[in-house]
Amino acid sequence: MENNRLLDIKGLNVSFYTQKGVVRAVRELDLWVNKGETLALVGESGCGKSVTAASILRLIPEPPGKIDSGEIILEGRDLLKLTDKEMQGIRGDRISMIFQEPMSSLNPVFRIGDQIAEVFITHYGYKKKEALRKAVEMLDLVKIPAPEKRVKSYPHQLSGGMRQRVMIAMALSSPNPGLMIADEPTTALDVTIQAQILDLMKELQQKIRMSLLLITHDMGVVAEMASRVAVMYAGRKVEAGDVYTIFEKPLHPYTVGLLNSMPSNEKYKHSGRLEAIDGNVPSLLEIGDGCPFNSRCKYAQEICKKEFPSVKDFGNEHTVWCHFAGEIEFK
Amino acid sequence: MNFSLKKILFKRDGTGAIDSIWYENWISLRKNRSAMFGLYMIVLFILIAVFAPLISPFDPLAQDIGFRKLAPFTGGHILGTDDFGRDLLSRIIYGARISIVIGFFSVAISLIFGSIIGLLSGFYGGWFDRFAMGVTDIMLAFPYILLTIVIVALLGPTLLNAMIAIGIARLPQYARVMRASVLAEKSSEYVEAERSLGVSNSELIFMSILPNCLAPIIVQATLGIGGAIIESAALSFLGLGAQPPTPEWGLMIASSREFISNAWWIVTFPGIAILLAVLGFNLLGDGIRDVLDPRLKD
Repeated sequence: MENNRLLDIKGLNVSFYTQKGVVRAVRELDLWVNKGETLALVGESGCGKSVTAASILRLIPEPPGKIDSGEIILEGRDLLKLTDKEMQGIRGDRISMIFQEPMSSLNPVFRIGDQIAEVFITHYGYKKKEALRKAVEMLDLVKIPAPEKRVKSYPHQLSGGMRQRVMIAMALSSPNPGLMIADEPTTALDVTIQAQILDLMKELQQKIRMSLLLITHDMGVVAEMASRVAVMYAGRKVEAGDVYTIFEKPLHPYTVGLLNSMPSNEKYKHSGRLEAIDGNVPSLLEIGDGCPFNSRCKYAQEICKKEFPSVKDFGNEHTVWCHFAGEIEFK
Repeated sequence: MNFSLKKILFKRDGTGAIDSIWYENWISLRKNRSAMFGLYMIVLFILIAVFAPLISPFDPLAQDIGFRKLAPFTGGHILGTDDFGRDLLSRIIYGARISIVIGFFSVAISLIFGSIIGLLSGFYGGWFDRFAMGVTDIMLAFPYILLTIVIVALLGPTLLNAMIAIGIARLPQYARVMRASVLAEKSSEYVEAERSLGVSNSELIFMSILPNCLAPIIVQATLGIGGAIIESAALSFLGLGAQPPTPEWGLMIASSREFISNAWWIVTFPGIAILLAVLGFNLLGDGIRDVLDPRLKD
């Protein structure tokens, strides 16, 4: 079981040491991605998803950020113990990343062909001409029409969807793409383009058999893409399991709330309104040692404010961190 | 001239269309009349400087005691002669050479070193940033001309040293401008994206951040050339720059200021030459700023 894991994060703690105090952005996070699978990391804005992604690539700005403890093991090597130089070799080689904002993730002063070619020059040692030819191939792979013409475009001449494809092309250009981290790859795009980009990523993932760590807050995207799901809330993992279990039998009140807040035809028949989770994500500065969700949880008891629950295992890798999981049925 | 310039500066793609941000900027710069007027004036000055030996009617250093302080348009001297009987027009034409060289050379010093300091301190921060910005703060606290005079006094009063002094004294401004744009660009998404692709720091600084920081520094440099010309004239006026008999505009004004009441042309025409050259660079600089700053666009 364990050696099927491509990436294994154990006990990760990431904090930001700000003037107002210590923000514990990620706490005691265990997460793994198996070879060839898609893991969806789900949660609201500010729950630590992107910080987790940045930690894997060691792109946390230090200071104020700091990875306090934990292990991030990629194929037997702990990334946190590598030198900066070794880490540079991993970035864009074994792990690549797609960013949230296609509008600003490309360098505005260079032609996109040159930017993709740069990957081939850095990681493969290609000559400029060959690299440009590979860039055309990559644009073709991500289904950009007329790639020979498009390599000469500047980012501002492309639409958001096209730019996101260019970003995907760059991420896929790495020599041995083992893991791709996609940080809300479709959030900035409109719905029709979203579906295209997701289909494209799925297709490419099967074609080159890489693992995908998909960071999103959109449960629709999760259902479409993921094989396993990990739900984060305020820096903590609160529930994890395979995608069917999470959608069919969610056992954490937060997951239940997330799923309820998803628009669906069936629900409209009954009430006609979307259900929201009341309240906001608590400030990570004020969060205590209790369950982070207690301030918004309808079922919270005294114990929820005092201590973070220990893990409850429901078999088949379905794990929940809630004092009352399986005891009360959350609606 | 415009068409060939276009060909040199901007590569065409397969369809023959020219697509480049710089080309778009060039188009909007061409619509800016005062900027184009400035550009033409600069080109004119550069041509005059390059072809000085061909177009100047007399030797700028040849003295003729019999024809001292001739008024304009007398004896074949279009702008008259100075107190040593030297042809004023020829001296101004040769002076263009010196002023252009001063302008570009001293700006090159502050541009290159100031940019490197600004890039490094903006990108890395830390002790180097604090040290470099501390030094620039101290330099900026001095009255500018005083700082230049101190540097010239240390190096010795020659034209070359005046250029170096102007370059050094203006360096902090370039470092500041560069650092500010690096700080803004450093945190942008494309830098993080490139980092996630395994791009090294030096490549990030010079290959991806620097090109994005060029706009403000180009404006600064264009305006700076005009400033440098004025300052070298001021230094020469004070006797700290070019030495006689060099036909330097500031020096020409300085050595003839006592004749302003009886031979006004000797002091006036070099002054007009300075005015026009500086005006040209300032108009172009302002125009470039209008084009590059999206907030000033209609």
